[in-house]
Order: sequence, then structure tokens, then C-alpha cells
Amino acid sequence: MNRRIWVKLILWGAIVVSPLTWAGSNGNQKATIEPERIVKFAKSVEKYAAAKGARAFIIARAGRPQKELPRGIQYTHTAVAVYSNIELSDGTQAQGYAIHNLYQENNKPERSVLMVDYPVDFFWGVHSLKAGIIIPSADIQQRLIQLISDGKNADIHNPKYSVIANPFNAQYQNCTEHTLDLLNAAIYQTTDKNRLKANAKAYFKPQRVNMSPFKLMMGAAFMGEVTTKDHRGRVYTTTFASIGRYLSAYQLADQMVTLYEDGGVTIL
Amino acid sequence: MKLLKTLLIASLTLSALNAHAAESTDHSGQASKHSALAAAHGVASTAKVASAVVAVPLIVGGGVSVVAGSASVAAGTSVVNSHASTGALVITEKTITVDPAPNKAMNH
Repeated sequence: MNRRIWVKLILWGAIVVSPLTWAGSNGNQKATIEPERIVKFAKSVEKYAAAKGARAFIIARAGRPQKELPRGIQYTHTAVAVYSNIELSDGTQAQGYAIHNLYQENNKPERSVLMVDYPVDFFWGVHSLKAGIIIPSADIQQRLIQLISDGKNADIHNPKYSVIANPFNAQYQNCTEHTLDLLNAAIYQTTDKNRLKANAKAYFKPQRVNMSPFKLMMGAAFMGEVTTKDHRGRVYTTTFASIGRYLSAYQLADQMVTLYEDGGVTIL
Repeated sequence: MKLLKTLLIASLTLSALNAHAAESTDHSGQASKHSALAAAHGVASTAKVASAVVAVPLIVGGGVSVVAGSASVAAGTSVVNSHASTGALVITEKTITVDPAPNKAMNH
């Protein structure tokens, strides 16, 4: 087989691998952990936050095995959980947390939508039962709830998606950057994207993505949800941990922990 | 040959990039999950699985988005005034989930 054919095969391999890896955590993926364990864990996360009196908190999940994640990154998806009155399909009402997410569209990974789901939905398909939890100060909780109640979370949503979106500009957005933007919208009480980005640049310290430029280039070439167009030089993005460090640095976080399936808690 | 190796390595390592911080895919609308949840609850728990219609945030400052009869909240109080960091909140024992996607629902 000549060299040109090999090159084509490998390129096709790259193209094929990309959607497969993306599909590894998409909406049609089966749970890799027994449903009973997911149900129990999801409820334990709710009860943990409820015991702390959290009306709104930042929640994160590990959608991939730790060994597959770049150095310094533990969680793959972040959102805001809000204590809510939930009307059920049988007409009854219940109290629990509704999770306000930015999710990629199922067939358009380069686009996103805002979607509400619930803890068992959130943790379905994860690779390890651990939750990142940041409980912001009561003032921020109050403002987050107000923001979401008023539907202003939609005002700061950018449907152009990139997994490595630059938090310092509004060209692309991912779930974690959307969470950061929500927090800053609550803090500064504005949905003006220019102000949000200016303040992020002034005060927020993002996480460097430790990945070779070549790999990033390949990702941008083959994966719709990866682009480096919004970056100059090294790639930095928003992560659960960098949001936690940001809130902690300005005394705006009451708690930042990892909650495990066995009930163990690690303070971050 | 170097090019071949480079491309091969790249194709095998793209998954690491894809597994980056912002894997924002939803697990909410799948039919298999609903079946699995129903089965799990049938065997292992007395708690029910319930589909949500709408969720309304509780306690909006100065507002009345409050559950009547709930012992955990009081009308018109704010998060700050309700001592959010100390008061425990009521959580239902039901497992709440969203309905499957329309095409999945039609197959049931």
C-alpha cells in the first residue's frame, strides 16, 4: 500500500475517532455505572447541598476517566443548580434542585442550547461518581436565582461552542464559561457582554490547557467543537477549579468540595 | 514516514482533547435511561421516578416564588435573610428526570 493511501486512511481514522469520542458522552450513551448507584449518588448530592442550605450552587461532573483529562483538570461539565419547586407530570409538586446547563446540540457539537435537567440526568453516563460543588456566598446565590428567574441567563448565552473557549472574549462559549459569565452577571448585575469580558480579563485567572499546538491544530481541523480562533498564543480556558479559585480569591465562596459516592468529602 | 507517525499519534490522541474541561453533552433525553431508572426503582427502592414538567426557582428576593405548605421556606424572604448557609432544605425522595426526546417517546 503506498504512502498516499496510508495518509488517507490515517486521516480518515482521525475523522472517525473524533465523533466516536464525542459520542462517548452524548445523549444516547448508556450509563457505564449501575443506575441504582447513579440514583443514590444524585440524591446524595442534592441532600449534601440542601443540608448546607444552598439555594444555588455550582455543580460539576467527571464525564471522562481522570487519566484521559489534561493535567490540572478534574471535571468535564459545569452548571448551576437551583433549589426549585418542581411540578411533576402527575400534577404533584416536589422540591429539589433543577440544573441549568449549557449543552452541545446532539447533532451539532459546535452549537449549544440552554437546558434544564435534574441530578440523575446530570450524572447519567459519568465515568466516576464524584461531584464538584461550589456554594457561593448567600448574596451571589440570591442574585443567581434572580438572574435565572428573569430569564437573563439566556441573554448571556452564546450558541457558538468551543470546548476550549477563551473566557476573555465572547467569540465562543462552553458550559464552564457560561457558568463564569452567569456568576459575573450576578456579581456585577449586568448582562453586557463587553463588561463581563472586561471584568473576567481583569480579575479571573483561567486554566492553561496543557496540550501541544499540533494536537490543538489537529483537534481544530477535525472536530467541530474545537477551535483556537478565539485564542492568541497559549490556550487558556475556564474550568470548575478556576471558577472556585476566582470566587475564593474574592471571598465569594462559602464552600468548595468534591463529594464522592461513599459520602467522603474533600475540601478543595 | 515521519508524517505517517505524526498523523497516527494525532488521531489516537484527539480523544484527550475532546475529553477536555467542557464536555457539555446532555444525558437527559434518552429512552434507555428512563427504562433503566424504572427497572432500578422497581427492584431496589420504594421511591418513585417522576418526570418534571417545569421547575421554578424558590426564594426570589422580594418575590413570592415559594411553595405553599413547605416548612423550609417563608414567603417573601430572601436567600440572605433565610440564613441560607445554615438552614437545611427539604429534598424530595422521588427521582426526578426529564422526559425522553420526542422521537424516543414516540417509540414507546
